[in-house]
Amino acid sequence: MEQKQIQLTIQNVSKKFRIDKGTLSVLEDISLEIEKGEFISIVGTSGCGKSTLLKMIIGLDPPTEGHIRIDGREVVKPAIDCGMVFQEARLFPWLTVRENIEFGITRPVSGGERERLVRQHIELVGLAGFEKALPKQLSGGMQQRVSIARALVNHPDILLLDEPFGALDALTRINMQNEVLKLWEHEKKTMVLVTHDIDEAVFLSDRIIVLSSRPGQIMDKIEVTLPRPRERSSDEFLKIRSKIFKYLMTNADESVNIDQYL
Amino acid sequence: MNTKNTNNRKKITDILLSVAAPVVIVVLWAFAASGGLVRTAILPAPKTVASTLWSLSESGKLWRDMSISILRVLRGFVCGAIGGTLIGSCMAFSKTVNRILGTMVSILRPIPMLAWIPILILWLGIGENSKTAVIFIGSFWPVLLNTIHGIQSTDPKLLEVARILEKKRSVLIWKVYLPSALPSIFTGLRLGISSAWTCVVGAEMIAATSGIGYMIHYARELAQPARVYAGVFCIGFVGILIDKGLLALQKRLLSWSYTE
Repeated sequence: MEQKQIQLTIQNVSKKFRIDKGTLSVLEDISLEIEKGEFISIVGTSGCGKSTLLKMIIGLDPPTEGHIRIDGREVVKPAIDCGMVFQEARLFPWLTVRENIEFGITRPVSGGERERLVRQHIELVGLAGFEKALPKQLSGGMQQRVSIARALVNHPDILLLDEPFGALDALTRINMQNEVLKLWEHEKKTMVLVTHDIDEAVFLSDRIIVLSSRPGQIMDKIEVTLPRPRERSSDEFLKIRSKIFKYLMTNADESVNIDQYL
Repeated sequence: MNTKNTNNRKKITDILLSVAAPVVIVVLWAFAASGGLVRTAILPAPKTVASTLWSLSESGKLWRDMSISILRVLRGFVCGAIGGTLIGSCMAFSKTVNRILGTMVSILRPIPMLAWIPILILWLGIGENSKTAVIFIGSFWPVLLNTIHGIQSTDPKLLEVARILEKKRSVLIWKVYLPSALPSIFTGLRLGISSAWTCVVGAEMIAATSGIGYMIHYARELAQPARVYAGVFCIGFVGILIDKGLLALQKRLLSWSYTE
């Protein structure tokens, strides 16, 4: 058995926002250890603070209490060893596909290596032939591919995905999930995915963290050991799916009779 | 094929609609003049204005005055555009500079161009410099304000992306803020040059011995209304040419900012 190595530690993290005179507690006492190369999903209803958690991991927003460490080093500001993909592709509209991906390179690399890196990542996300296109000429799914390539071109150790497929249509979303799965198997990166799509979480993750609604607390950590690629309609898949669904529905509104959804 | 036809038809309709109002006005004007509804000393017939325009351009006088005015506009506008973008960028990027210059801007900006002319003549004399200065001030404000606005309205989501990628401030400025501000800066330039054009005519009417503004002013003193109208028409015509030219340039250079 290979040695497990903890890469990302979240220790007793809480986040409170000041609103007028009071404080709003968004996340409470989150503790989590993520192994190198693990695919983790964080699911929860909207407003449970799951995106806030990602913002703290990347160093855009400090936790009110607790510590976040990557490879033992406390996160205080954004660093290129951690990449991020947002719900919107956030491409620079004035740059072509090629130039957008090239913008992702922050480490000093030689011109030839630069060229090679960009070409390799364009092919990795299947956008060969679209190098010179502007973002506005691409579909939503293609834009998101560019944004994934831009995040990967720096070779981050951890890739954070903040509801990356939330704005895509159902078919494109399933396509992109398959692509991300391939990328993960190929690149062996630690991936942390925030989503409200339960199927997506079960399809992709090694572990699923279920957050309660505000203030977000960890309700359960569910291991998914099904072999990949996972069959979305298998009994095991559906069982895990309904377990998470039950958590979220009971938590969202006590009065809803959840049996009618299952 | 069908869509091409409807597209063409739409284009033709658009052109017809955009020239309809000027054509109607000229027709009404012609009727009013020929029917004796207005005195020709106040409003000469379109035919008279057109023939005056023709003879002015044939004698070369019109071109001489126009080119003098256009050169003045270019000189003042280039200074105003460079000054506006530079100072605007400094004000947008540095809070300190913004505090230092902000009050000055609020005090000076509402001063009308015409009020500047006597002051500038006192400072710089009656020659070319005072005219350049008037045009400089006129084109400076729109460029300044649009530069500041463009930089300040850079999408924070794009800035977040650059921060996550650990980009230096210089990269942020050159690769994120400025490209994102370019459409707004360009709008400032377009407003600036039309303001420059307004200013040169104003300055020439008050103190000059050449230029299109002087030509109009002089013609009025000599009671030559047809010349006045010919001059006014030329100002409007050059104005629309400059604006359409810049708009075409903007669409070409900043095609990314136009949705198809």
